[in-house]
Amino acid sequence: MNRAIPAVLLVLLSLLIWELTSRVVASWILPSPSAVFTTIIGGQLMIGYVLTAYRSIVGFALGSLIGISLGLAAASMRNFPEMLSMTSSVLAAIPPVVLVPLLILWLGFGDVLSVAASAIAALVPISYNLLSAAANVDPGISDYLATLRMGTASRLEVLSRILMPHIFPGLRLSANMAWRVCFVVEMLAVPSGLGHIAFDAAGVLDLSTVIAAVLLLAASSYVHQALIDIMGKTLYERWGFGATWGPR
Amino acid sequence: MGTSIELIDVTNYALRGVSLRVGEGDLLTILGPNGSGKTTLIKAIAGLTPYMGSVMIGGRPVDGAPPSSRRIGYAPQDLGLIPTMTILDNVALPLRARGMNVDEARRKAMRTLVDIGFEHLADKYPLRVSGGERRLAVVARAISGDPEIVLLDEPTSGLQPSRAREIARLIVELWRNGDYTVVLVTHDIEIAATMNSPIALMLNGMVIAKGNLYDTVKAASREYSSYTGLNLLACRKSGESSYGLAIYECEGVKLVSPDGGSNAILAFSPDDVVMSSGSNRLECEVMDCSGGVSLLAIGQLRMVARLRRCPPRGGKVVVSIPLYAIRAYPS
Repeated sequence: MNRAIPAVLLVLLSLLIWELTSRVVASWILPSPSAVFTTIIGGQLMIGYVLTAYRSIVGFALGSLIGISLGLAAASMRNFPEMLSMTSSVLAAIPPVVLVPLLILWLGFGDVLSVAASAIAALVPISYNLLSAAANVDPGISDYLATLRMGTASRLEVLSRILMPHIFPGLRLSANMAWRVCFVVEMLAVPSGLGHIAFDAAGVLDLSTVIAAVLLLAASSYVHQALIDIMGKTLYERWGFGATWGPR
Repeated sequence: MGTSIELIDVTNYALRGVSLRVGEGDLLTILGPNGSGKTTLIKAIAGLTPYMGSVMIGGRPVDGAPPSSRRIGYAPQDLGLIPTMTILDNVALPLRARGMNVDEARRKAMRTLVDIGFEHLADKYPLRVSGGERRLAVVARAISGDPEIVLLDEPTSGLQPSRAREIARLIVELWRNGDYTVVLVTHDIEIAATMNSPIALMLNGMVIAKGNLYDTVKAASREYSSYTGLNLLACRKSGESSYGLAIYECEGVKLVSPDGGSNAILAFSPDDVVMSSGSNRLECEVMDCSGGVSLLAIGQLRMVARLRRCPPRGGKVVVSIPLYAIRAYPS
């Protein structure tokens, strides 16, 4: 509890500085925190928020599922090919947003586009994380497994158990990416959602709406990651990993 | 009754022409200091490291055959337990790998855990049990899949001596009741003595002696002591003393030590050899001295000592070995 006090103080201090600054500059340059707060509780962002949350969460779920399956399938291959590792590194280096023009051509504008972009954004970190973890399995475990004659099903089952602790840091990053990319795609190509509202509001210099949308996005992504942290920490605790393991 | 293992001139980055035979259902202890090639030797038998020469299992060469085809129960030094699986599921792993269904594999693994008195830990995760229990879980996993050969790499490493001895005794008991050949690797002379089995002594990637503990140490004690710095002497009891002490004759020199039976290996550290008159007072010739370590000779007996100052080479020096510093291992 004591550790939370400095963080809360920092937030309060930032709000105070923001409030004081907003009193000396024009509201279309920097609206006051109270104006932003009023916008948030006013409810005009609610429908947009629900749409963004829905798209981000569905995209995250799909991307994680596909990412975990791909990561496990690739990692389970005997003599894990170096080329695959290189390909995944190259793919991981591409920002998902640059795929948006292609996705627009293939999927059009709308829900499917933003869900697909979020899914792709979520897929890369989790699968990349699993592949890296699979390439660095404890030598005792890999030596031991080499002495067993395992079928594909058993190999996949064992590998999923070995890599399970490495899923959570990847999921955390995937959640963050899914929300961010969904917001950007809504700004660029979807006529609804928080990103779209923020983009429109910026056009009419309504900065309280822009900031309110960004804050809602940040808070939602934070809560999503915190839930993954709680799930990971519960399992780490159960398995007996030390405090240095996994997301903190 | 297990199967035989034969290594013919096995050479690689850590092994230098190792030839060795372990008979069907035998237990062989490989003793050697860190870096002597013990783990590499066990990995060569398992097929986990490349080598030149030949490894035969059951009389047939298995060179180039994958480790999974060698019917081996392997307990690596790094444990290799899967932390997200319970001890029971870890022990059941070799059975599951063979295609046995989950319930049957768990039932059979539980029987192995019951055999080693370990059933109360079945539902615990590996990182939630003690180091000794983890080591034992690895041994249980190595024997649970009905292997023909069990390879145990330092199964007592990092444990308190009493716990290590307990596990060594349990391994011997499991081997007596089991149906497999065992090769156990250790750097600990005490574990080698507890195993009471044939010993292969390794140094610098070579097996320098093989036989029972007494003969092995007798044949190679000079080389072993000068390499490891630990004085190991193969001695015969020549008289009883009192208070649990006995007089031993080691290469013609009499030493008083804790009683370790009629044939014993006496071990003491070079740090415990002191230049003063006390128990086991010995007048020695200085063969060599460098880096603070002296090589001393009394007739045929050689020992290593870390004296406070380097005595002149070829001179005489009087040293003593305190009784508390000597450990006697029956052999």
